[in-house]
Amino acid sequence: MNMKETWKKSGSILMTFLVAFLLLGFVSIVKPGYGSAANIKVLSISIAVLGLTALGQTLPILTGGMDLSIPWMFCIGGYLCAALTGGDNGKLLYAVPVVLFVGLLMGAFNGFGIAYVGIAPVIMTMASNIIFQGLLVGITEGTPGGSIPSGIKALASGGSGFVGWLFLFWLAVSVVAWLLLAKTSYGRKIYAVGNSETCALYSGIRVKLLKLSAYALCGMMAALAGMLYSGKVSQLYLGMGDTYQMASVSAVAIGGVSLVGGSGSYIGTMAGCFVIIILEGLLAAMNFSQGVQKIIYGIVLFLAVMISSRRKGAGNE
Amino acid sequence: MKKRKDFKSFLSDQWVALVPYVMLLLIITLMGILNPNTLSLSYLANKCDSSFSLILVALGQTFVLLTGGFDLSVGGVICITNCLAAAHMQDQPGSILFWSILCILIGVGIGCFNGYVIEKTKLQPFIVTLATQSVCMGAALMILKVDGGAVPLSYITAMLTRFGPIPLSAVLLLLLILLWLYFKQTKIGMNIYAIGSSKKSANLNGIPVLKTMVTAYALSGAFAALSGLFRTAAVASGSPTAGGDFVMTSISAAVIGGTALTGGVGGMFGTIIGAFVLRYISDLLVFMQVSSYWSSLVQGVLLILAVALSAYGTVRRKRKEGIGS
Repeated sequence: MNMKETWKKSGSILMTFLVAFLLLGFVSIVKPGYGSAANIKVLSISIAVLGLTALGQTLPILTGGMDLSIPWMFCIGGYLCAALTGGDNGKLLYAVPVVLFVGLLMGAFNGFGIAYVGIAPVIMTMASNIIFQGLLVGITEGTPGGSIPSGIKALASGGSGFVGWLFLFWLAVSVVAWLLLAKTSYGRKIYAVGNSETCALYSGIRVKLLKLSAYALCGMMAALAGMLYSGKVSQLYLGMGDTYQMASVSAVAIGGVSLVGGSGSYIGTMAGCFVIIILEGLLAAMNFSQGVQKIIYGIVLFLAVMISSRRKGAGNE
Repeated sequence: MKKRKDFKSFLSDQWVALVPYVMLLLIITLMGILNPNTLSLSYLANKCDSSFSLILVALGQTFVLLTGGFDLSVGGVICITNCLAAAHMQDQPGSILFWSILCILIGVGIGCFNGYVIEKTKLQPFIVTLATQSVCMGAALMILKVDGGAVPLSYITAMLTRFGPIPLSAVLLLLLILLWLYFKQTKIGMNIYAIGSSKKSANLNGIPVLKTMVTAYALSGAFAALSGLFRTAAVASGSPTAGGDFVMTSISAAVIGGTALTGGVGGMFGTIIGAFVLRYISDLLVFMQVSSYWSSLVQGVLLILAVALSAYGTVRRKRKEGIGS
């Protein structure tokens, strides 16, 4: 019984991984050269950047909320690192902790509004996204300076063979995140809050603080991802995080994490990241027009979420 | 004597419902002080015209929010209808009528699909409508690759008609309010509120959940299509991407107006006021000479303040009624 349930649970995640690799196999056959080591390495790095934002996004979604402010926390992470270091590797020593801390603070701001004031997560994070945008653009008067240190560039764009270093870094962070969610009491509490806030409250969980921490961690991951992304593309631009707003939510949803909260696994989110990046790569490689790309993206997103949530639907009946 | 007491208890219970109205009044007063021209009839008429697209899409969004859902696809519907109208409409009454009706039907169709799929598959509205939005925006890009298109002049003049100082949009707005007052009393209107309050109880009480959900999403699609049609006239061009801005603003307008994202609470009046508040705030920032670098920060802060007030009110109301913790 238990065995069967575990299989059922991981079955849909395996399916999602399978979909991703089928897509990759398909495009490698249709487009010779797409499966080259250099190209796969680039894909793996993109997966890692999305993976870091989706890791953050998983936490608020598990508590039953959502974080739409990832784009500008992402941007601020990138710009802050560039401004603090000015391209100097030595200064990374204190710049990285500062970036992570600022991310944590921005996330905590979201968490405070949601948990303590009682604002709906979608609205709160949407508004704070605008606020963070205003802060960055306002303080820098629209022309942020600084340059990206070579250490970040090397980590974020380098690699060997098929994998980028960043991908390995993401895997390492993911192991920590998975352990945190699946094996610690903190993780259990996150799921408990997502399942029923009232029950969690009566079980002695400090619901508000827990929610705040989930958003804070999400902010930290977004800032970290932004810093690394700037190294990946070796440049900074306003709005560089915009695509990660919906992509991170989609990755989590494709991975079978319920958007109502309380159920789903981080491994699923990882599978979702594979599907999204490989799909985007496929659509770009096939030279479809932008319109067709968006249509196919929408259809695949819908189908993928259908497949991954079938287990849950069957369980509810 | 009794009446006065009623009024007092009304104030203490329902003051939250008045927040958006007070907010709008404050903003208009402030703008009137900063620049008396903004109180003139012609300015108000222009404001009504420029806010009307947002009002329409936010009204549609309200129906869906009332059921406890979300409709992100409104942005896609606006893009499609905007592009269709700008790309194909000819300067003949027949053509204008044909394309307008076709656009509305497309909106209704997309809405029906959303509602049906969400209710049948039990998937989250957020993700389903996100997928349909992507498809719609893709379709819009196939109709019109870049901003542009030719909008027939007679269509623009018809949509922006003035009856003396009163714009057509104000007349339509009044008509919509009357329709809403009727709709609220109808069975389907009440069912929407009931489902938003508790889907389970609604289902147990024999309310046709599927039909009501499909209706709510179809209304949202139809209003988004109307919004796209009106936008075509207001900006006299088509854009395959501009609709995206309306998704979050439409939800904000409804929420500022007191509609709860959890469903079952809110209504049309608040949403209309909320839409005006949003549109006036951006004007206010211009008149207050806030540097454009900072304007998005101020907008975000105001949005949070407005929502925090109504969130505080909801918590209070719940406590009074004994719902919640």
